[in-house]
Amino acid sequence: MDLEKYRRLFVDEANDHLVEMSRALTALEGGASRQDIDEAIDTLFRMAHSIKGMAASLDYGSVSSLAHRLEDWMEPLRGSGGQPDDASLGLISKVLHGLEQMVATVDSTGEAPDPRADLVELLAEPPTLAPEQRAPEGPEKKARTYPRLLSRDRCGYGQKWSTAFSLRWAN
Amino acid sequence: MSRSVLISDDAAFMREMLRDILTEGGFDIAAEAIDGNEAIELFQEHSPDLVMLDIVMPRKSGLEALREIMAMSPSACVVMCSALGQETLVMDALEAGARDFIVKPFKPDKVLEVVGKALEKSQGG
Repeated sequence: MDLEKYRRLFVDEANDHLVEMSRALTALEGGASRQDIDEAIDTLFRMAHSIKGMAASLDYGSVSSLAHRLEDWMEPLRGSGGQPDDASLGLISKVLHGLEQMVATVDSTGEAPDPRADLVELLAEPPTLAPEQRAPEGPEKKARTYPRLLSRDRCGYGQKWSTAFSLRWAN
Repeated sequence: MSRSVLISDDAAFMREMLRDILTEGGFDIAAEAIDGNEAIELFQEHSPDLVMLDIVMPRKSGLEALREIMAMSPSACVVMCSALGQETLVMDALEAGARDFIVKPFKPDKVLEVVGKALEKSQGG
């Protein structure tokens, strides 16, 4: 594999993605319509997913791990039309800046950047919505606010995955 | 005779990597699509022996494109490209008719093995 060619492609495409993600973040900050919010969230999710895949292909574990955490963090917001609050938007901004620095390190040194445990830790808390969009406080609030994360990661996962393998090997 | 493959991925990096792996492995690249809509159009235009579909793509996802391709051509040979954490979507794709899947990051030997086996199954009916 021509590592230098792929490193160049990674730096160029990751930087393009980060510009697009910054535009999406600006759209979210501007009090967008539900459709605009959904599009911006989808862009942020897809770009994080793409950076994760490219970085993993080149063994830049610190980059792929941070992008993966951002992707997971965005997942509950996808298709919800929910406007993230200022704290969540600020966190996205910090993570984008962190990813920019990491890509710059790859560009200038050709080496894998150091991990950003501080940002990964911040992404451990789920996103919060702007006050006017929050559901009433109560014990069931989180389950209703983030149904996709719960259904994908925790409900029947093992059973479904073993079914997938059964389908595959039965042929 | 070389077999032809349609590559579909919104990331130029991934398309380049698949192109290198597949051409090195003796396959012809029929075309490259950057989203699900283009994958469907190029499938109709080129009738490739095999289609590689990334799951996460803009405008139309790989899963949606798979369903449309299978509706148009039930014997189409499609391999999905997925990432860790997309197990449920992969299962949906297998149920919708995908022959197999490859998990990123791509390992050349694994890509060629999965593509080769999918085409063998396709030939064997």
